Amino acid sequence: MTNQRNQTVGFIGLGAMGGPMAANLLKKGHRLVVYDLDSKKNAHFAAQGAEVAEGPADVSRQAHIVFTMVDTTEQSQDVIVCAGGIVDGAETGDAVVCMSTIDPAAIVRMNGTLAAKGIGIIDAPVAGMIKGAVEGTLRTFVGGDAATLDLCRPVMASMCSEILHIGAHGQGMTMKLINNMLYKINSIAAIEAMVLGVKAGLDPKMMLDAIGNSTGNSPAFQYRARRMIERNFEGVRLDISYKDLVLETALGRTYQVPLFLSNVCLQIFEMGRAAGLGSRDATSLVQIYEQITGVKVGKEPKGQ
Amino acid sequence: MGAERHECIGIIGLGAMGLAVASRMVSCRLSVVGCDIDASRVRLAADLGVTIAEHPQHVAHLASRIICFVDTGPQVEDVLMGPAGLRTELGRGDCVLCMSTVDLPVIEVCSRAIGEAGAYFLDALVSGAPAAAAAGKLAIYVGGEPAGFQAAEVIWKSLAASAYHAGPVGAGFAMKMINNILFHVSSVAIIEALILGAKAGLEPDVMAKALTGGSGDSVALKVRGSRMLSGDFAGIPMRVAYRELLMETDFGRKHKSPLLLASVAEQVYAMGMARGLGEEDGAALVKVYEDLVSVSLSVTSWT
Repeated sequence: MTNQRNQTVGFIGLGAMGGPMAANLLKKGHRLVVYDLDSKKNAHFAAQGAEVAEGPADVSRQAHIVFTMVDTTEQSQDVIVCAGGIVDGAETGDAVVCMSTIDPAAIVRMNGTLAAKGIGIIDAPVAGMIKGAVEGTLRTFVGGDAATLDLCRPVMASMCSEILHIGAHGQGMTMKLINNMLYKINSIAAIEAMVLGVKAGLDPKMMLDAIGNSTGNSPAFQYRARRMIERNFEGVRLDISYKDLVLETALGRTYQVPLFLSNVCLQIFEMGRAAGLGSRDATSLVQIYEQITGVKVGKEPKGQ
Repeated sequence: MGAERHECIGIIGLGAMGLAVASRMVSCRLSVVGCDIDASRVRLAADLGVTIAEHPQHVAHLASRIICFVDTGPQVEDVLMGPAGLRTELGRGDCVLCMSTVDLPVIEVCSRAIGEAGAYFLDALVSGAPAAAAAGKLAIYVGGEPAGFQAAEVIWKSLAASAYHAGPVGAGFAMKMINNILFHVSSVAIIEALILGAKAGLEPDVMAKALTGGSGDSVALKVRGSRMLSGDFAGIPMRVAYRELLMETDFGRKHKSPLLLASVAEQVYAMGMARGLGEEDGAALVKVYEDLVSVSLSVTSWT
């Protein structure tokens, strides 16, 4: 039993990112215990051969390493250190890998609680979006001690093609927030630029090509401009990106660093939430600009 | 010299970009005629093998396809239509390219004047540093008649990794504005993000590595970020970028299209200009934030 526990991996949170990440663990032959609040998601994994636990503590009772991929800082604390959380079922020498993008300070606090019981934790937020999660090609920025990372690394490699050790506890999260800040500012810039170009009479597809070869290019521009043209607004929920923006601007306040652009971005995301776009991909924010300016980037597919 | 007028390419304005363009064309074995009001620039061009003309009119006497690469709108108007302007020497089928980033009304006035002389006018705005020009790797956005775009093909072939015919006169300018909005907003975003990371204890070179190839990456990070880390601020003067930003936000106003981020970026550049950084590369804008926040991105300052 003990030996089997050492060979078992736990995964909590089977959403748009967590689902395909956990599926990759199964595919690579790991023995897997899962838990999600949504019983349908649990049933899906049971059918694929995973054990389904009764809650976070039950996951850690059965698994030596537990990954968490839930939405918010509060949810992460709930499943890791609150009553009935991983902390209640874990043993000395176990490890928790927090892969959600959350407040770096929460990681430092949780490490305090877990370290007192001999349980390791690393922060390992991922970049690469749903495509990377499905293909097992995520990049992860790791904060925490090298020993815990070394313990988890072979399992993480089933989900991530690149594992960068950034620094101490919480610094993986800080690195991720810095990356996301650039991504979101570039995304809004892409929306404003495409709308202005269309208003000034330029062809959106030509703009995609012309900028793709030039100084205005970025992964954010490529992803957003393509989706604006294709009118594809399904992807990562805007509400999740909004939560990251709140963390990013809070980080600026913590360190007293001016963040003009992130704060303007936050307000634009706020407009999107007010317009009911919270569960669409953030590319849908282009619709707000289109409504205001009376132009459209790309054509609606027939039947919409 | 002996080269026929229809084989020669003229370049008016031999500054950092104009001279790089001239050197690329000479290395492509094209016959190049140039002029500049600054004698020291003329000497540099002559050393490269450029035939030197006395003034723009003289350039147009010797060359049928002419690139105008001067600094400001009034200079462009003077080169084309002033007392020694090139307009009087133009014939049917000749081609005048304005590569300077000048404002739309100037482009429209020049387009009319050159069109009346029977020649093609193209706004052919470039993206890329002098090094990219010298290597023939510019991106060029072109507005004007399709026949004019074809007539200048030898120029695109020698200078550009890619040349886009973006539409009628003014479309090259519009495309350049759109590209620049993305570059200038990204440049400020990089400064804010890297400064915050440094303040939160991340090492600048670790951040640069972690961001490269990920969703936060951009051409701006590559171009500007590396200068911020190395402290090399000898590049394209910030005053040039600032002037372009003013054109970008003007362009948004003209089309009544909101530019929240570019407007904020313009104000951040205004802080850099106020601090006296106008002659340094745009990357030097980081100094404004470094002073405010009391951290440094310069890698040499890390032990």
